[in-house]
Amino acid sequence: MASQERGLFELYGEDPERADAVVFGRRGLLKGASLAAMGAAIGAAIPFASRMPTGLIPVALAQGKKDVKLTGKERLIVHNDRPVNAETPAHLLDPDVTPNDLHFVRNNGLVPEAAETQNAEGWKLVVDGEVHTPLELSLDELKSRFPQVRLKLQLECGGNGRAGFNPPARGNQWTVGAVGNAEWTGVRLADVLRSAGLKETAVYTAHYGSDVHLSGDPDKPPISRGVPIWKAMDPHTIIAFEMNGEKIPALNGFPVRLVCPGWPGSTSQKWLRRIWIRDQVHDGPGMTGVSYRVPAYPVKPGDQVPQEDFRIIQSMPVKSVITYPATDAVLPRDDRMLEVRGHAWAGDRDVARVDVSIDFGSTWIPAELDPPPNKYSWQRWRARLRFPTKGYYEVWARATDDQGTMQPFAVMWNPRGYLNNAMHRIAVTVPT
Amino acid sequence: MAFLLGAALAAPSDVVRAQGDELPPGPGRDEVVAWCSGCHSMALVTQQGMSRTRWDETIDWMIENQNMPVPEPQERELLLDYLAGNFGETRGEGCVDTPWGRRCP
Repeated sequence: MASQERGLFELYGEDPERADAVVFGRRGLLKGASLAAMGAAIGAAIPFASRMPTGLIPVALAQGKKDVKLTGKERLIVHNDRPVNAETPAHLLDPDVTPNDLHFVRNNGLVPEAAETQNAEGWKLVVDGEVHTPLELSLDELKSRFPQVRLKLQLECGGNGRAGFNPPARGNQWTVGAVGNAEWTGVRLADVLRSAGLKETAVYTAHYGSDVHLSGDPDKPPISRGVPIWKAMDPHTIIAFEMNGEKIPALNGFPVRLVCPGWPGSTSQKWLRRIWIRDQVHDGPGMTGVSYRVPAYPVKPGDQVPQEDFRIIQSMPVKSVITYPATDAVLPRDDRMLEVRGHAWAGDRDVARVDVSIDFGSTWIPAELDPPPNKYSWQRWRARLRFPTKGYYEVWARATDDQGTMQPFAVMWNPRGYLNNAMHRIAVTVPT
Repeated sequence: MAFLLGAALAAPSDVVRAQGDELPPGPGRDEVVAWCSGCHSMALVTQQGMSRTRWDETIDWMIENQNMPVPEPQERELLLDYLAGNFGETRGEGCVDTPWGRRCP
């Protein structure tokens, strides 16, 4: 085994690109620092550690994420390269519709080979469980048997904002950019489920993708989450096969994925292959314990919370982001006017208003807020600000949803670092 | 194992240097790399700042949910010493700039 590892290593030393092609059968997913890509490649190629007598792999195969760029998503901030996790800098979220190259990535396992090569041949979707007529649909059948819809849908990672937690919470340290609002084409999950015929015993969906567990175990899904039937039947919950009019990028779930807008992104299974209708709340990986769950009551930061007190996250909370200008903006000399803008969203709810402050929340200026182009799209807001003096300012944005719930100032701590919807702040300097 | 590490040391020196930049040196470093990087990149480790108890729970979670082999108790102590020592709540690789201020682990 050692000689094989060494062989790979030498291969990489000579020609990383070729080695990558040999190891993966394709050109590298990751580029940038070739060393990092090399490490990732070799690491993924090594048989799972449990099969090695000592549980050890060569220390030289360690790799980090420094300078790693994702092909096709070069401007994202990479938090982790195996599995791939990358977020969008806030100012690059400015477009109303998030382009494919700027949409965040949150993977739990390894991207399937068929997605890497954009090969949908033989793809099937199985719908089974508590249905009268189990389905097995090809991509053509999926597209032709059900009406197609095209919707702008907000998709946010449940852990977006985790970097604000203190004490830190385990997981990827997302700041504000694990959110996007692409235009998705697909069919309504409700139409597919009606076609299968839900039994009265149907309670919950269970989603399965074809991504590969990090340990290489073929019998272990990296993640399998679901939603209550009522959310599955919402006409905005779709089985998508296009993102912004193009094939879905490999990292975002090619060829087909779910989009359950307004709920933690993990419910929007990527590389979808099976929807199992269950007669109980789904208990797949990511559904149980403390995953994608928060305590049923507010807790003191750092407290241990009994596992039975955790509840499954459903709708994401009201939130907004300032997309223009980028933080640390400096106004031109002799100019104290600035139009700030961004987006706001509120999970299952609509955003009712957005207010902006330039004085640390002492006074608030109402922003102009656009209605969503369709339900579950984020909403554009903008405000024209006039700074009274020169100096250092912070611009804060605060969205309020249609039930009157506002974004808080403080981070509401929970053990696994979910649902941080604290106000986004940017710095603006007025020189004269 | 000696052979494996030997193979590693025979690697190009800039590779070794790159890892040195990545993780603070000290007892347990190589073992942490070996145990963790079989499945995920070390970036997932270096992002964290957790108490020894939470690191211990994290190893339990990795064993129960992520197919991590069970380390011998002595090995586990070594891993925890390194993880809590270098990526603890009060010490760590460095500070993180967040939109809610600078947070130091």
